[in-house]
Amino acid sequence: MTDKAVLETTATRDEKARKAFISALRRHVLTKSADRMRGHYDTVAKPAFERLNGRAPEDGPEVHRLMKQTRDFRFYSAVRSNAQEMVFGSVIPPVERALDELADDGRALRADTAGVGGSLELNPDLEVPRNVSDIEVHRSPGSYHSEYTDDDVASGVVYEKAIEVFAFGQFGKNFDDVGQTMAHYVRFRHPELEPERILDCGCTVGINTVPWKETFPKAEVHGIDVAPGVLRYANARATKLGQAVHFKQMNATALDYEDESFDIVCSSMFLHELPNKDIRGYLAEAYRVLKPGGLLWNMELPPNSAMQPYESFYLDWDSYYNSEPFYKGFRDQDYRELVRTAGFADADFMEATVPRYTFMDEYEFKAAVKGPTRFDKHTGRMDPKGTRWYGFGAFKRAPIKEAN
Amino acid sequence: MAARIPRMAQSRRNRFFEADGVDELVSMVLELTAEVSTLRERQYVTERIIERHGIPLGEEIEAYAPTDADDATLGAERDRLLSTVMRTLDVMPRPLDENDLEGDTSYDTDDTERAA
Repeated sequence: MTDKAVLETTATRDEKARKAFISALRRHVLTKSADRMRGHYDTVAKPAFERLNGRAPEDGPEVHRLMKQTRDFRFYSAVRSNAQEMVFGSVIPPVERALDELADDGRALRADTAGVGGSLELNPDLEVPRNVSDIEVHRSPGSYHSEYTDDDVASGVVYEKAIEVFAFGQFGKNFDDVGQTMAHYVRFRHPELEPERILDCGCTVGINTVPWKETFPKAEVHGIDVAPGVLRYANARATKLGQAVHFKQMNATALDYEDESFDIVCSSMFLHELPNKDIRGYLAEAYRVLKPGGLLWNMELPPNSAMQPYESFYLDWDSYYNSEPFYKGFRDQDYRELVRTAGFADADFMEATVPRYTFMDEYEFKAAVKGPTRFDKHTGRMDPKGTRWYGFGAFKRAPIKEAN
Repeated sequence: MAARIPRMAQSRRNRFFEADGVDELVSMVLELTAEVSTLRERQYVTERIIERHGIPLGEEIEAYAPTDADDATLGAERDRLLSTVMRTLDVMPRPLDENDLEGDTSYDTDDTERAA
């Protein structure tokens, strides 16, 4: 490995302090302010609604319309919205200063990638879809596809550093808890699986792709995304970690892979970024490239149909206020129907809510994996008091069984 | 010079308050708090380092007479702080037009009457 290729930026003392403050601000608003807002709903807003209407609010949008009138919601939202903007503002200056050095490090690590068994394939002809190019997703300046220098990795570095500030520790110390949790869930829940090839779609910088390689070291792991900068960084990052992952610039709705060539097709927090036709396009492609007996497994936000009205409202905040236009539309869908329409058998639909792998001992996690799927206020929500990530998917049946 | 990466999303900012200006005030207060927090951390580190060298920092601060160069540096820092705290006003979507000015005039009139 090239020693000089540190792939790091140098933040000043003040920049570090600012990032720490914004993490603390995020923690405050998502815990204390969120609890206060919930308390206001339970004790004031909901009883008032019931007196007026003779019933409780019945879905997320109704809770949203009610809560918008409260000072708690307005301040919660204003602070959270500002904190989101401040996350990006706090991480970009050191990245900008090191722009060319980072590109050099990316090139050096890319030269080493074959040594660890990985690869990077970019496709300059691939059109970046409008759900990335036309929307500042998560209010990220320039979205996730912008490039600022040759062989740029800046968008990837900004993404990872923003996650560090954004997560206030809730994605684990390597920010990869989602990937670790889902890969280990599949390993312990389906111990019979011995995947030879795994495909992670919409992988951005590969934070949640590398855990699949770590969990299934014998498997050939691929990660695809539409944006070149995040993939260059993903490749450099995985190479630096000594992990063999194959990153390719590709649209998940038009996979450049053979039929029946993967044992697992997975994604993390990907589908809610897509318009409906692309969700369906991705799932149909996943079905096509899965081998018979192969597993589709998507970590996502839980469906609104499984949540209480307040929890629906709480999770859908991002759709209204965080440049996530497809988020609620996705959560309103019937995931079983999505999976069935893609070609999987209705009876094969599976879903699970899973506690965080990197926050517990492995024997505890193994026991939890066999537990029931529970939907509650901890599901799909970053909460220091406990989080359960949601996943859904299906095994692809062998053709002979489809005739039944 | 390296290309500039935008610091903030360019699309319309969220608004949560009916009363004009409250959303901007929230942004300003949070930026200011971030600045204070950053400064306090720097101050804390500074004090620990200086004490490590055996210097009675508190007394020397009280006795310190700023030079012209100090004043220039501190002035520039004040301007930087203000432009950070006030950044939200720079991206306010609604330009001030004649109708707004007329509105302001009526406020002045009311105030004058009350004062009289």
